[in-house]
Amino acid sequence: MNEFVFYIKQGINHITDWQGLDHMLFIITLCAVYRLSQWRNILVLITAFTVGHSITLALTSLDVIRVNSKVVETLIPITILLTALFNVFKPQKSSSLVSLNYIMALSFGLIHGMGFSSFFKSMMMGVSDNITVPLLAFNIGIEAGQLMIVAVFVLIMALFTGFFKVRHREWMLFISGAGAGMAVGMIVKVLAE
Amino acid sequence: MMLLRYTVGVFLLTLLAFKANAHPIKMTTSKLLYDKKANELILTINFFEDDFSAQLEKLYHRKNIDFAVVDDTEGSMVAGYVAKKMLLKANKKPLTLQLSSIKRIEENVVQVKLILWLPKTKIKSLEISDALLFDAFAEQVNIMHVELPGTTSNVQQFISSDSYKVLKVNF
Repeated sequence: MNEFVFYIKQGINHITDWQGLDHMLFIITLCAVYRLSQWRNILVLITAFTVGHSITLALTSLDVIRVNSKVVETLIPITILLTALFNVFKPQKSSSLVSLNYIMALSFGLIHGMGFSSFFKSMMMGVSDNITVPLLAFNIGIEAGQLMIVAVFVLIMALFTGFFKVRHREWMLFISGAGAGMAVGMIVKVLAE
Repeated sequence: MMLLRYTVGVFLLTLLAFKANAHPIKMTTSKLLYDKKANELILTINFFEDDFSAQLEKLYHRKNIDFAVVDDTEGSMVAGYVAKKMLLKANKKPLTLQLSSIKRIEENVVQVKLILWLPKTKIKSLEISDALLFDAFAEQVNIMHVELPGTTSNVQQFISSDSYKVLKVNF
């Protein structure tokens, strides 16, 4: 397989398989507050997350910054938990809180990027003559995978809120509650290791 | 208040039902290059040191293998293990691996370099299969980079859960 295509595929697989459950869960929890009609807001939110994680993925992979993987592994589920709590306890209909959502996506994206870099650096161990092209391809793969997750999530949301007539707030609370539960499970697991 | 109770209920149910199965990355990376002058292939394999030493210790009943100071016995163990798990064939005939070096290249990464002499006849095809540490971890993934004359740079992934897979390179 061509190297560029190979790393795109790795990026997609990394975020869409069970190994990337924490990243997947974060994206879902982050998008849970939005309705189908707010798809533009979802796109902006995902872009903010992308900007954040691309920065730290590049900096960590290029060894500009070094991070403790254990700390990052603990912080990632904390970002999910905080996002879920924010969804549940934020006042409804506040425009300043919408922009706070974007700031959260961007800043938490920085933490997730460090998580992506652990996997990327493993793929590069001992074979990293020039990592720029693999890094670019891997990041493109992550973006593609991310968009797939959002698309599937939005479709399921449309099904529940449109077809089964579930109220959007109930849907959001269900996703946030489940996200928080999984996040706490992950935090306990990481701390117990 | 009712919705908040509902959220807490979902939270608790998920927390009880969910089993985090995050695991450390189980991976090796390899690179196969051709040295035209010596008519040999140079195979470089990178292992996570903790995974590799644990598997060798288990298989060969050794204790505390330290890749910073590898003795002849440990060198033979490494070469033997790689020869058993990594199959390379040129023109459908198996190639013999010879250990060149073992060194720790970064924290928790050990690099094993091997040489494979090629037959003098023209090489038409090469077959590679990489099952390193498949016997140790169900989630093991091995990435092989092949850079050979007449072929574009090639990357292949070998996954423990997949059925037996062979990378074929035609010269």
